[in-house]
Amino acid sequence: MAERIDITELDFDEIKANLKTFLSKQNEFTDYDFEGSGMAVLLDLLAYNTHYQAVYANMLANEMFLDSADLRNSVVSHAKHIGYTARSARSPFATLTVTVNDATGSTLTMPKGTAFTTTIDGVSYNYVTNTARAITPANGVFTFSNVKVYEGTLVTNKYTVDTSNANQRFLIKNTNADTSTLKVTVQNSSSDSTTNAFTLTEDITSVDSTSKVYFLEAVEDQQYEVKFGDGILGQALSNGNIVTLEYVVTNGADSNGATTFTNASSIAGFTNITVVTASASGGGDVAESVDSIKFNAPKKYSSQNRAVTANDYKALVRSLYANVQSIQVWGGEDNNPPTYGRVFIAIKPTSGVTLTNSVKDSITISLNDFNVGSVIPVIVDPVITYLVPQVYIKYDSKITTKTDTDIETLVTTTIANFSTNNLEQFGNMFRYSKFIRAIDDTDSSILSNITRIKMYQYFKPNTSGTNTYTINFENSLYHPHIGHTSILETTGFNTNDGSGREYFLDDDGSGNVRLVYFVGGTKTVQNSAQGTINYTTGTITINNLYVTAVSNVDGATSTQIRVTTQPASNDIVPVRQQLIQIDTANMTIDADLDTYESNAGVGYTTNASSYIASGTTSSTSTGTRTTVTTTGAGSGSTSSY
Amino acid sequence: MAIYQTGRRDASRTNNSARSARIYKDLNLIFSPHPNTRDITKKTDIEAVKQSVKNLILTRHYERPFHPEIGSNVTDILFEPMTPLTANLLTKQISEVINNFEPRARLVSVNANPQLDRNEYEVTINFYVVNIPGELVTFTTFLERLR
Repeated sequence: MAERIDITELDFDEIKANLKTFLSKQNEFTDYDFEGSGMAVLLDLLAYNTHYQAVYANMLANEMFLDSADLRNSVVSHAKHIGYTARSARSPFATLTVTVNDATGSTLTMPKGTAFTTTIDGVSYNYVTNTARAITPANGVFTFSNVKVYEGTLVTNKYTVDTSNANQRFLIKNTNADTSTLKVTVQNSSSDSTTNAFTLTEDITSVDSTSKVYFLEAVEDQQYEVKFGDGILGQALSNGNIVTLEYVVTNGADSNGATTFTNASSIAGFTNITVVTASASGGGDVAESVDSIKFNAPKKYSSQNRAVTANDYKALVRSLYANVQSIQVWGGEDNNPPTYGRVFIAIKPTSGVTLTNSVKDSITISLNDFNVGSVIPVIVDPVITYLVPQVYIKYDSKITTKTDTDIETLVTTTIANFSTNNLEQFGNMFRYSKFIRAIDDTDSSILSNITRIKMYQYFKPNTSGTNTYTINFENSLYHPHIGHTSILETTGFNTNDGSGREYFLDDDGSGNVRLVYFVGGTKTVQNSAQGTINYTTGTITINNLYVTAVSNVDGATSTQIRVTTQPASNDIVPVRQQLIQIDTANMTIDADLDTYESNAGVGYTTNASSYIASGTTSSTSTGTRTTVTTTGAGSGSTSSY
Repeated sequence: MAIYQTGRRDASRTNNSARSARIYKDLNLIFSPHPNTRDITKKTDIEAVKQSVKNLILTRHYERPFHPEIGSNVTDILFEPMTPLTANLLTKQISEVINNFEPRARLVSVNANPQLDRNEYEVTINFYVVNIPGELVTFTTFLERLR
């Protein structure tokens, strides 16, 4: 029977081994497996050629599909076939209010390209305007409001159209160009200065032969190409037209978060300029990565350029705004309270917790092109529910040289990683059993852990008036019976009663939130009905509270009050814009040597006090407290678990 | 009983040994056509091993695809100053490459004799071919740097 010929191997050595196997069936030349032989030279040649072809064919096949392509050029090209333009680098932008104090005259113009500077981490960044603005004075003061400035340099490319050159391309060659700032103008000719602005279109249904539009395509080597119409779909260019491409070249995300700007030059010759930041810079990012294009392109295609389903919004927002770490979208009918005709979008940016108002406005305006008519998108800030674990660990000293502190450090790292990897995204719930398993698995010496969970949220009080505040944990709170001890606690604050007392909030175990203060460690109730607490829905309402000042939180000046409570279930579910995150700074980890294991069930008295602090429930029950009596070989005793 | 083949000084004339346990057969890299058949010619037994030894000595590291370890540093050594020490290094390199990559040759000795006047080394390699244990093969060549 003929020997089966293997043709699947790609590696040089395997191909050569196959050729040797083939040659082993003949005896004309027998020296094929000695490296110095002439046959070895011939085999090297054949195997190298086969390897060469195999790698080429393999790579070609890979690059033919969006899923398997590796080269950016291939991925960009495949994405283009399904109507997706890979996102360019995005320039951080800020909104400024610029007052020119010494200006005179009837009008003042801030030219395009006016520069402002800011410094982040000791590095100076340049911000520029990309449009000219002219104003008249209001009450004698020249103030430019809502001046949008982009980080980077304003660059202009000019091309003279040569229709005899079939290969002429209008390229944005700079790989750090922000195409969202691109402005395309076409001058009739060098002798006719009539100039028309062309606008970007992604939708050919609204384009005719006279539409002054351009198409933008991502092309090779991270460049972009501006394409014009052919006289049927969009106005065609004529010989001698001068095409001007103007855009900002940016450093990407480096200067996100800049809050202080100064003018780098005079405005129309006036130098006494005051710059106030209306909205800090944000939205900067590097060009879209290959992985991101692979992820987003099919989703954008499936949304068909229309925002209808929640996933459509997710795909569109990701393509409109780069700096998204996590996004959640829900319809108004699912909101609490239901708000019909709205779609709510919660965005957690990659840096910081909330988006600036200017970024929110920019996204909302961009979404208008894709919305179903009667639906209004509303961008809301994420609400972060922080979890504070209290972890008590028993470990076996016989199988480790680690100390209490070493174990505690390891567990701290585990918990921080758990938070990063399993939480901190919309829709990621906190699963208690996985959490305690992760702690147990931190080190082989850990025998057990007992972990309790508390949770808190912040709210920012209005310090200039009476307000009603609602804090919604969206999870049931621990309430075993009416009149149970208080599970609510807050950081301190002052009210407008003039007493100067530091007040706190707690609950009376019967659904009322109380305003309390302490005198020599004794709690005194100032107002027994300051608000309500709904243990079932996890909603806390504080009525008619006028906070004048907020006490420090964790030793630092704060504008927010922390509201801590205890969940009924150890599994905590995030709802809508809620994100769950573990507060690793305030958690408690206590590792102790285990003294029970070595005695193997005899000669000791159980005493759970080393595991469980008094006054709170244990982690082994969710919402109930059970008393068990152990009567082992040791003396009988009672322990609470 | 051991078989000895004696009195055959010139191995080039003893291609086919009837006493070999296995006949080594290799391409002749000269690729000269056979005078009668016009087919490519073969090298067998001792001649095949000699060709292999020569190939290995003249192969530089990284010359073979994906196998940089095959080869010797002989070419580079030829460009070193011609001293007894260099000659010794040359013999080491040649011994090493034969021992590592030519299992058919049982090496007896390598001698590199510097010919200072002609700027070349006279290299003499003595080895036994493993399937012809009675015959000491002496392979002499001159190594000279060209460029």
